[in-house]
Amino acid sequence: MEYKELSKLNNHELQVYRLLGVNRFQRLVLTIERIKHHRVGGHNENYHPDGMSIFSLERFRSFLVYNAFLHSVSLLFAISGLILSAFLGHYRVALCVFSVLLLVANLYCIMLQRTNFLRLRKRFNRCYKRVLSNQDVLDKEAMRKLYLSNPEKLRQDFEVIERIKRALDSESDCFLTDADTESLRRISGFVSIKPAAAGHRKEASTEILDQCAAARPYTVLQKRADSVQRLLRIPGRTALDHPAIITENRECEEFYRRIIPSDSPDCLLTIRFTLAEAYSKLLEEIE
Amino acid sequence: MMNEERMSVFEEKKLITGLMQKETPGCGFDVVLGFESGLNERILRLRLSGDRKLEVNLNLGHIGKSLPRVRSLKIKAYYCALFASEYIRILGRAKREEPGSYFEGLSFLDSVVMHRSEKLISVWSPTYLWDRRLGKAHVLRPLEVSAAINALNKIRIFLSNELTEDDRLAVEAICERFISYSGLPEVSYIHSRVPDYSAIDALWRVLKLAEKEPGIGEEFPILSMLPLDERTTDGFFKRSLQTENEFINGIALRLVAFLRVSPETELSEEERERLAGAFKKFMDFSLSFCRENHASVRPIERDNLIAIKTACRAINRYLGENGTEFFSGNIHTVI
Repeated sequence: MEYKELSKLNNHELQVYRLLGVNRFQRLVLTIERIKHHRVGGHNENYHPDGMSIFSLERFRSFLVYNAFLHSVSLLFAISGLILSAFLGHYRVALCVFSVLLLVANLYCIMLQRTNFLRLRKRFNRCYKRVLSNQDVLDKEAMRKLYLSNPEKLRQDFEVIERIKRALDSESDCFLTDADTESLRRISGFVSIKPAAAGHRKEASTEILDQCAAARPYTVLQKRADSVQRLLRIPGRTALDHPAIITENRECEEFYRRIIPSDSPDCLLTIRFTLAEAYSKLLEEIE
Repeated sequence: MMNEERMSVFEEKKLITGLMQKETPGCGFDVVLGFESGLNERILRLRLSGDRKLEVNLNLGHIGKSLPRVRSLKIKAYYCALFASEYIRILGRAKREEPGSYFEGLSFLDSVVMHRSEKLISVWSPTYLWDRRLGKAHVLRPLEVSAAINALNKIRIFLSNELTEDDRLAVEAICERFISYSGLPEVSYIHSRVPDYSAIDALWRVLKLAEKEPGIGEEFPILSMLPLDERTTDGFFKRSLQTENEFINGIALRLVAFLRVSPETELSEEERERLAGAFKKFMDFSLSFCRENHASVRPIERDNLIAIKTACRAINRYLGENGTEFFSGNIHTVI
């Protein structure tokens, strides 16, 4: 999970892509997709995110990396095709034309992935800004009052917040045990996040046979995208990341629910940014 | 392999035939045992012809690979014979009995599908597949795991004097992993590199069978318990909560977890309690499974963990929409 504004260079890059006609190319690709699925319906899984929540979009980034990787490999083939035809001395027009077409198509595909990547970052930043502007969820005065006199408690609570943060960043699962109950109780005293309204569910077929046929933990493409992202060591949430915050008993769950009333992305992001930031600032101040 | 006593093919056949003769009577089939010797990974092949005749071809080439980390070839041969017998017994029991638990119910559902398969069926042993990446050739379902657990338990109990300390520990370790899966058998692999939800996939296959053969419900007690005439998910869900049965209530919970059940489906107080009971049990197993396997690198355990986390998210959401408060340990998945 990153919070970084687009640099000037990034904005210029986006403008260049727009001038080169990447937006038109995108429309062309989507038209081809519609024609491809004309009879049976549906869509290419790696072209669309499965939701507009920030976590779905972060996972969708995995597909962008995967698409760019495939097109880069294809681009290499096109370049080697061109080089080969020139070196062999047999200048074959057909091979050359084919290689050039492949080269241009793949270049545009890579530019499209990059454009979408930057657009997603813009969207993330808007979302983070919205979350960060919502500062009144924390009673900072009460926090200050308690922790300045008890720095040890602050350290303990900060450690719990850090673990939750790591889970939200997909680094590891977070286990909240008996030992964390006191910290959770304290933290819950400073936080008042309103639960988000329940989102609208997608309409789906109510036929049990249809639903059964479509249900799967994940798809082959998601698995491949996940492998490519791990192989290339690109940070961020992968397609198969399912981090969880696990409360091991009733008390932990009760206090956790007071801190995070619903598992909606907005509530979780508030914890990830506002709370983590406030605690780390306070800790810095004390130390 | 060091310390591995040699066995001739004749000795292997004698041991397996003797053991299977002792184990299979009363299983409901006339078993015709044959042998094959291939380097492929399957443990046996089956063909059901007619109502009772069952041809079993045990792969002698697999014996050496059947139990990783166990050195004794004799124990491995025992395992193969016991696995085959247990597999056949479960197939037979599915025709006569009602399931006692959710896991048993799933293996009975798999058995129903096997009964209706007219092809030669290859079977793989979970002991061999557990640590591997599964491919398109493989099948691993609750049915196979159930047979493996029974076979390993028999080895632990009845052959304890023939096990060395190392072998005993190895058998126990494998068995414990399977038992942990049997508490939450959420994924299965059927000729695919990616998993399916075991309950949903088995249900889908059985519903398709019931569509083709409407009378199939009378043949298998487990099918008479399921509302096979129901076509909608909401209806199936509601009717699955009308009887007090661990397996049927477990299926209702998986419908909420992996399919889309409308939160507006009206439930009586009793039905609500049954759902909450099933969820409580599910959550207890989930918490311990997560604790034990959160860092596992085995594909099956990792996939099971993904399925459990997905299920928890969907169930929490359903309960939230329904206005049901659930305060116990919980899993909050970030998706």
